[in-house]
Amino acid sequence: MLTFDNVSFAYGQQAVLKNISLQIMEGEFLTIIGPNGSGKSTLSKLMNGLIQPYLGQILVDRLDTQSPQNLKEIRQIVGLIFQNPEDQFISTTVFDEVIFGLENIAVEPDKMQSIAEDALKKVGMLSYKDVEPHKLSGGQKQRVAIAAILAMKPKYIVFDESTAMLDPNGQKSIMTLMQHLHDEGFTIIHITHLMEEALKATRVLVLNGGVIVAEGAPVDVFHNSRVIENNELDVPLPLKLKGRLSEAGIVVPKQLVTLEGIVDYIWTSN
Amino acid sequence: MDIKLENVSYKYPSLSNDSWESIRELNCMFETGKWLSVIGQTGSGKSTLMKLLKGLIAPTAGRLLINGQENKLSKKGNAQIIQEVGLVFQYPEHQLFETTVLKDLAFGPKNQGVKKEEINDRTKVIIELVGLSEAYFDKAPFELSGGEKRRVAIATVLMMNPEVLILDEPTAGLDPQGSKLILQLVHDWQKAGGGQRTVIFVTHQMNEVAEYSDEVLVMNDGEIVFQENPIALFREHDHELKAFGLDIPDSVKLLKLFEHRFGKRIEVHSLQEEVVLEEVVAYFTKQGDDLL
Ligand SMILES: Nc1ncnc2c1ncn2[C@@H]1O[C@H](COP(=O)(O)OP(=O)(O)OP(=O)(O)O)[C@@H](O)[C@H]1O
Ligand SMILES: Nc1ncnc2c1ncn2[C@@H]1O[C@H](COP(=O)(O)OP(=O)(O)OP(=O)(O)O)[C@@H](O)[C@H]1O
Ligand SMILES: [Mg+2]
Ligand SMILES: [Mg+2]
Repeated sequence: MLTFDNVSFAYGQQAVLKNISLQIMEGEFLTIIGPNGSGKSTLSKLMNGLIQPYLGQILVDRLDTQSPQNLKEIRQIVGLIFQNPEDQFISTTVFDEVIFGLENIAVEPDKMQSIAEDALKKVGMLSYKDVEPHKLSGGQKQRVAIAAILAMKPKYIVFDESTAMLDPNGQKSIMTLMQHLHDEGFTIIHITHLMEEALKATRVLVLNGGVIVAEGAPVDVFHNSRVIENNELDVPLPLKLKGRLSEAGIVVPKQLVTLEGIVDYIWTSN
Repeated sequence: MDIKLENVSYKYPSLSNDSWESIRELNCMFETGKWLSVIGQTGSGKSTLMKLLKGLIAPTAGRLLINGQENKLSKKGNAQIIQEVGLVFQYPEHQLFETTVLKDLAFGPKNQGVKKEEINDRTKVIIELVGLSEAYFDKAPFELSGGEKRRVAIATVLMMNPEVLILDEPTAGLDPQGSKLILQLVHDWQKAGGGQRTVIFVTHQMNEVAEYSDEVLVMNDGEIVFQENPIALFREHDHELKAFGLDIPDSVKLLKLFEHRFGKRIEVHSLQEEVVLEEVVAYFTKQGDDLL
């Protein structure tokens, strides 16, 4: 379990997170949404001890992120894929980029090669293994950044807008990958600005101005128009369609959240 | 300003001989006053094409014509930057290098010789346009969140009053309302130009393409595979688009599902979400009876 107990964080004088209390259970698929600058990336960096709160406590499976001796273990438990993949790159080839992470954890050297290859294969980047990371296109960089973290098999994986620069296929394949990882038992924490993606979560958390302003199952959060309007969000098209239909007197069951589901429902209920 | 590509190819100098060109024999026209959206798989050559259009790199084969005139290499043999073209890079970090937001905003127009008072006036208007405020002037760009950097990067390019505005995935990383705001502001900026301002917009969000484009250019593996109006492209070529790793906008998905289920094709004049929702809901309700 990942626990935030009354956590506050500031960059210099600017308070960015205020009294955050939050528990993330093992096996959850948590999606964090909220306006630009609301503190999502800051929250994610606190999760693996990259930065430290000035108030409160963060526990990763009972390990306090503020104890320096815990950090090595914490980084292995919580894998953070940065918002800007360029911030993550340090090696001269794609392959070394993935190997680098493995060298810092207890992996038998003769297994490294195959682990790294597997991770690159998962994101469709194996054929680029000898390329310099900075010569890749935007979406290719994003995929390599994901592979580098996946290789380390952290129990909690934080995706900070990992789909933002991917083409539609890439977006879908990373979402599918997240769902597979979730099925395999990994805990997924996904930060995104794409509302359709948020529908896939088991729980959605809305951050604004450094405060958690809403939380719940995706359908509940998106059905709350106040939450949507006050937090620079938007409603995915299927839910907009349902809203319009209900204004016109056609009520579609709450659990139907896809266009297919809604159109089929109207088709069969007539 | 019309930009035309004739048989343009581009190969990154660092790539070994056997690896092929990132852009291959492109022929296309970017007409004055249009909104052209560019879509294509990761690595298909979109950003490379944008750098060519700005003159940051020169074609390794073929010609780039600006209003019919070839954009030749400089005397030293380098690519010639095209001043009238403003390019917002895919990574805003590549655009912000001063110590404060204000200095970054002033940098471009200063180089163009714009007067100080004029620069001051513009900074105040433009920082608000991108949804930020003067409170950001003294911040260091590296201290901003991802979306805030993006907004500042767009502002620095608008500061230079370009005739052609190229936006390379400008909405990646913006919150939903922020994306709408940026696209609406680009739209308003274009409309205020009396038909002289061109927008070239790279995105992976098909829904955004549906909201604004006059034309859509589809790239695949370094080549242009379609240049068409969005309605024809998305309604008629969904299979090809999927084969290219792309998709159709949600509004078109809804139209197709409706057509498939109810056997009725709804004609629309636009693929904007609002337009399509209204049409479809009208069928489900008023005209629903004789449909079923
Ligand atoms: N290194 C830094 N130094 C100072 N202030 C910072 C720094 N990084 C972020 N900030 C500020 O902290 C606030 C929260 O930033 P954060 O990156 O956590 O936001 P975010 O929710 O991830 O936003 P986005 O959706 O744009 O990525 C913002 O107002 C930002 O300007
Ligand atoms: N600086 C570079 N040196 C060598 N090759 C490069 C360089 N930049 C890009 N490439 C290669 O050129 C091809 C086209 O890249 P480009 O960045 O134009 O793609 P893109 O369509 O913009 O992709 P994305 O949607 O991921 O941003 C890719 O295969 C990429 O690996
Ligand atoms: Mg962020
Ligand atoms: Mg690109």
